[in-house]
Amino acid sequence: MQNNLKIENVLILGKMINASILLLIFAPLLFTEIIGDFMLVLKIFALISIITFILNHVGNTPIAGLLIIGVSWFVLFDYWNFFGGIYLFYVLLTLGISGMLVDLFFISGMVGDRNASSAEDNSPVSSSLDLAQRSSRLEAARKMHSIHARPRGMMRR
Amino acid sequence: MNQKGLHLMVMIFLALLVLLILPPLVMSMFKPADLLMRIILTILIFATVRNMLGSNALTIIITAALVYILVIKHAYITTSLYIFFFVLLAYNFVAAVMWGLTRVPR
Repeated sequence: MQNNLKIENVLILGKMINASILLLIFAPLLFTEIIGDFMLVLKIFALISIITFILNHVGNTPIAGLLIIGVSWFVLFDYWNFFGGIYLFYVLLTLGISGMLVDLFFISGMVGDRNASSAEDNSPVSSSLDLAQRSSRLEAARKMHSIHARPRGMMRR
Repeated sequence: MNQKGLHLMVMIFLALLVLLILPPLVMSMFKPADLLMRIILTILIFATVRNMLGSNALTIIITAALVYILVIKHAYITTSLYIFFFVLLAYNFVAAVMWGLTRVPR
């Protein structure tokens, strides 16, 4: 009975090793296929953007057709390594990745800085919105200070 | 960047990774969610292409190609990216996650 269990365990272990070896061999192929597919999708979206841009600016004329073919060839085939990166960057910016990066670097840079004077300043900046509110509060305090300082000078004259 | 900042950055990356993995996990566990997400993605792709090219034959061809690649072939990756970029990032939920992680006592 125990021998049977041991043999079964060894067989399961062998299957797992086989599966992991197969996964190691085929994983790069899987990833290259996924990357290739998403590159094609990016090219299709770039083509749609080019068509929309030219039709909006030139109108539905024969020149627009020629321009679409020329620009598409230039962007999608000749210099895709250059324009692909730029287009991906543009898409990510459009989707709002820059706000996330600002939040990320503000937060990670300011956490742990406990040497500020007031209790409010002791708390770390949690987001770009928080930073904007702090700046506006500081600006309001400066304005209030200038308003209170001015009449005193006027009265002395 | 100090040690706490680095630790927080790692925590944020882990939280974003969980947010990326969650939609495919839900889709694989609940088949109705899978179907619903595929329908939503198809409508979104068709609406996006029609908005850019107008209603013509080219729209149908491009939509078909995109639906095959994004919805049929790589549905889990597309859903994950859609949820992350169009829902969480667009409505600033990612900023709320980051703010929440700074408030977690360590």
